[in-house]
Amino acid sequence: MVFEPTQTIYDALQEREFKCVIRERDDCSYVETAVNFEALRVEMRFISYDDEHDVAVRVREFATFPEERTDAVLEAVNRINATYRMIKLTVDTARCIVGIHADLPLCEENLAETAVELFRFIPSIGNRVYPGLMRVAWGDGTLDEESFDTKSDEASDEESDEDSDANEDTE
Amino acid sequence: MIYQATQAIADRFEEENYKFRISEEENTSRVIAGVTCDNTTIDIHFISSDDDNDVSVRVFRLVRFPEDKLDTILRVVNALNRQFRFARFIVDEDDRSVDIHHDIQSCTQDVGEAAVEMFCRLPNIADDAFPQLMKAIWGN
Repeated sequence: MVFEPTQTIYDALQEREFKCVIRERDDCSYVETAVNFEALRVEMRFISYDDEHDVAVRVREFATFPEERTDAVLEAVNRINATYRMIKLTVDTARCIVGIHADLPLCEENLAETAVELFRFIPSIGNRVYPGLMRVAWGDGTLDEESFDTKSDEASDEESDEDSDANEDTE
Repeated sequence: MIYQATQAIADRFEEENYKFRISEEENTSRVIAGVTCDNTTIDIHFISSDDDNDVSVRVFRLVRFPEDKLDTILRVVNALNRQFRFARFIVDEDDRSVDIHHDIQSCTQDVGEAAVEMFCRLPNIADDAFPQLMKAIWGN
């Protein structure tokens, strides 16, 4: 079945002409959407396990890395998590994958707006940190402080409105 | 000055009979509420730096660790970040400590209610995470 938050978020994204689809599983329903940037495709899910508003927002495969770079990636991810608000990056060390997590609070009455805010925010941050993370994962392995610069937050948030127009149909 | 979110959280905490204090700094104001858990005691800071609703929720220095445990702690903190929703565990490499972060979004309708929810969630998370961190620091 499609839980109420899933329908609310789907309607909010559709209203703003962002392409998305609803998926159903035995234990959950979710809105799936994707945003493309130059070198990055961010696939997001807004997952509900019931009709409460504590929606789990997940980017399951934000980046991959070779196993021998695990320690360096963990250090970089911690640096990113310390720098940026609202989201956290997590590392699946068994599968060598970096994901992005965010969670909406149970008490959130303004579900549509908060979901849309995250829909814009996550790709914006993803696009910012991706090059630095890739250098750590696949390049010379060094942490580049400029990759984790937050000074242009506002400008990037404005850009994300345009960037989000490039989101692909996930069907 | 005391920002509106700080006041809204304080008012809501008053209603709930939570013990807290308000602190004012040059550019921020905050509500600080102490909680005694089974395994540890924490202070939760609800920090505002403007009149928006995007409050930074922080638990500083949940644990401290020796320098030679940094790699181990990074792995445990990542596991905690995967295990728990809402809490973002951060390793402060300079302070050699682990903090918990959460952020209330600016478009949140009721910042007081969101703060109450975090006041209920974070002590449970901290209490569950604390033994895992201590085992990593002091275990073999």
